[in-house]
Amino acid sequence: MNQTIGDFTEEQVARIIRDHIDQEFLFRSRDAGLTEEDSLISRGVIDSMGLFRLVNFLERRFAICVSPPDIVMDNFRSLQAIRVFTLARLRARACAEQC
Amino acid sequence: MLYPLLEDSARAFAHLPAVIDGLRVLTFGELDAAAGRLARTLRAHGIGRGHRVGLHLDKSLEAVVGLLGILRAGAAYVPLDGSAPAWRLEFIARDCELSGVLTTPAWMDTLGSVSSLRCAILVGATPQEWRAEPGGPPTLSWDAALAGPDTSEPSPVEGSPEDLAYILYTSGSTGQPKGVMLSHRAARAFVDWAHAEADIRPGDRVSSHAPLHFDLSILDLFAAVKGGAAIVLVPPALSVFPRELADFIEAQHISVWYSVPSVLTQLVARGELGRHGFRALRTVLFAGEVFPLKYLRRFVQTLPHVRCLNLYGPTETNVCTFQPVGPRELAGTESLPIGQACCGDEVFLLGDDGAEARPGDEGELCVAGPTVMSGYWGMPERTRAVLGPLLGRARAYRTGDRARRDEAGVLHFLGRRDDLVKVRGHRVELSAVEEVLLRHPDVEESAAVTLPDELTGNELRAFVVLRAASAISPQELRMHCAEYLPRYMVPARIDPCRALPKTTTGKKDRVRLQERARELG
Repeated sequence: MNQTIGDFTEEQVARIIRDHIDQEFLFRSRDAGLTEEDSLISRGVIDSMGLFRLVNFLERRFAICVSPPDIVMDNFRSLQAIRVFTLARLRARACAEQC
Repeated sequence: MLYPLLEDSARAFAHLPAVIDGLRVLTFGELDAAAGRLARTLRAHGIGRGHRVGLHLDKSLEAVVGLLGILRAGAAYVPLDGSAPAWRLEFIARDCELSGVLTTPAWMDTLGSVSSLRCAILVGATPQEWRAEPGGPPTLSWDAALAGPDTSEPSPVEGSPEDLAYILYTSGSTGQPKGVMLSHRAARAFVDWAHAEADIRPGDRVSSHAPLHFDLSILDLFAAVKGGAAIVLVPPALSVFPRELADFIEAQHISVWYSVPSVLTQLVARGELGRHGFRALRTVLFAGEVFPLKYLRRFVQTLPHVRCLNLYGPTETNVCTFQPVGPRELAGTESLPIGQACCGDEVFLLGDDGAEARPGDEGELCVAGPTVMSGYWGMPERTRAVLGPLLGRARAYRTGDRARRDEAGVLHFLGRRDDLVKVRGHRVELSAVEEVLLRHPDVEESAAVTLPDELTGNELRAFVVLRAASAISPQELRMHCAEYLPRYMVPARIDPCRALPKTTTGKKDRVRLQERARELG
C-alpha cells in the first residue's frame, strides 16, 4: 500500500489520521492500544462534537468535501473506515482533476 | 410510588410491548414478571426498603428490568455512568453505601472492594465463568438472579411516597460528585404531569435517548410505563450520526421524543429531515440547555404537525416549568421563555434585596412544591444552604439560576449566579475542572471557559500556566483530567499560556479567555 493519490501516499493518509486521533481524541489510559478496527464510537473516543471536529479536520487537511450523507457510521466507525473513506474521496478528486 | 405504574400497565396492557432494545422486546407482562423475580433475589440478599442499589450497566433491556426490579424490592436505584473514571464510580458506591450492584464482569473490578455490597449481579456472566474475589461480595449471574418461580401472589411494594426512588450524582464544585436524592413523591409529581402533557397513549413509542444517570431518563421510562407505551432504547452511537438518527426515529415509529436540544439542532442541521414524513411523531420535548432559536425555528417549520415543549428544571426539582413552542411563540422573539410552573410546583423569584422580585425584575429562581428533591446525600449543610423555608414557603429550593417574569407572567431564563455551565445538558462547574487541573504538579494556574456554538452547544476549553521547564503536553493534561472527571467535563482543548488575563478586580477574565480560545480555533 503506497500508491500516491493526489498529494498524498496511502501511508501518509493513514499516518495523518492516526496522529490526529491520537492527539485530539485519545486521552484515557484505557484508550491505549486502539486498533485499526476498534469502534471509535462505542468506545466513546469520538462523540457528536468530536465527529464534526474530525470532519472539519479531514476537509481542511486533505482538501476534500464531506457532505451530510457521508457522515454515517460506515465511514467513521473505526480508524480503518475513516482511512478508506478519505482515500475514496481523494481518488474521486484526483480522477475529476485528470478528466 | 413509581412501581405500581408498571403493575397497572401489566394488568391493562399485558401483551403490549414495554421495552424495545433493537430486536429484543419485552411486553408489560414480561417486564413486570422479570422485575418481580429480580426483586425477590435482591430481598433474599437482605436488600429492600432503605437500601440503595447501583445500576452500572449500559442502557439495555437488562438495565430497564434492573431499575424496575430495584424499585420493586423497595430500594432506591443509583445509576452509575459506565464511561466515568473508576475513581468517581468507587467514590459514589462508597458515598451512598450501595447494598447491591447490577454490573458486568468487566466493570466489577471497580466496585468489588466496596465493603457495603451484599451482592453483585453480573449481566453477561455465567456462574461457571465468574469467580468471586476473596473478600468481595457474593456474585450471581443475571440468569440466576432472574431464575425462580413466578409466585402467584407477589407481596405488595413496600414503602411510602417519601422513600427515595433514586439518587443522581452531579458535578460538585470541588470535583467531588454530590448525590441528589429524589423521592417517589417527587418523581410521581413530574411523571404524572409529563404523561398528560406529552399526551402519551397506549401503544405509543417513546424514545429513551438520555443515559440513565441523566434526569431526562425519568420521563422516558416512567411516563411511557404509565401510559402503556413502549420505551424504545436509542443506541448511543446514533447520537453521533444525525442522518442515521433521523432514519431511526422514522423506522421505529417514534411518537414521543425527549432529548437535550443539541441532539435536535444536529438533526435539523445535518439529519436531512426532509427525507422522511415522521407521521408517527406527535410530541417532542427538550430540556437541559437553551435551544438556539435559529435551529428551533427550522425544526418547528420542518415538522409542523409535532407539538414541541421546552422543559426547564435542575436535577434537584425534576422539571418545574414548561413552555409549549409553536410558530406563534417563536414569531418576533429573541429568546425562548421557560414558561410557566408545572407539576404542581410554585416558582418565584428572590430579588437581590431578599424580597420577592416584582414582575419585570430579575431574581433567583426558586421552587417550592412536590417535585423538589429530598436533599443531597450525606450533605446536610449543603442541603440547608439551598433548601429550606423561604419567603413564606415552608420548603423551597434555590436554583442559582437568574430569571425574570414578564408582565404576562411568563418566566425567562437569564443565566447563572455562579460558574455552573451546561455542556450538552450536563452540569459542569468550571471551578471543578480548574481544581482538577491544579492537582497536576506542573500546573500553576488554570482557567476553564466555555465557547458557545449554536450548532454543537458549549465547548469546554481550558488554559493553564505551567511551571518553568515543564515539558508536559496538553494531551497529557487531558489524560490527567480524564482520571478524575467524567468525559463531558474533560476540556476539548487545553492551551498553555504565560499568564491568565485578569480583570481589574483580579479575577480570571473569562471574556478575554473566551476570545483567546475562539482565536485558537
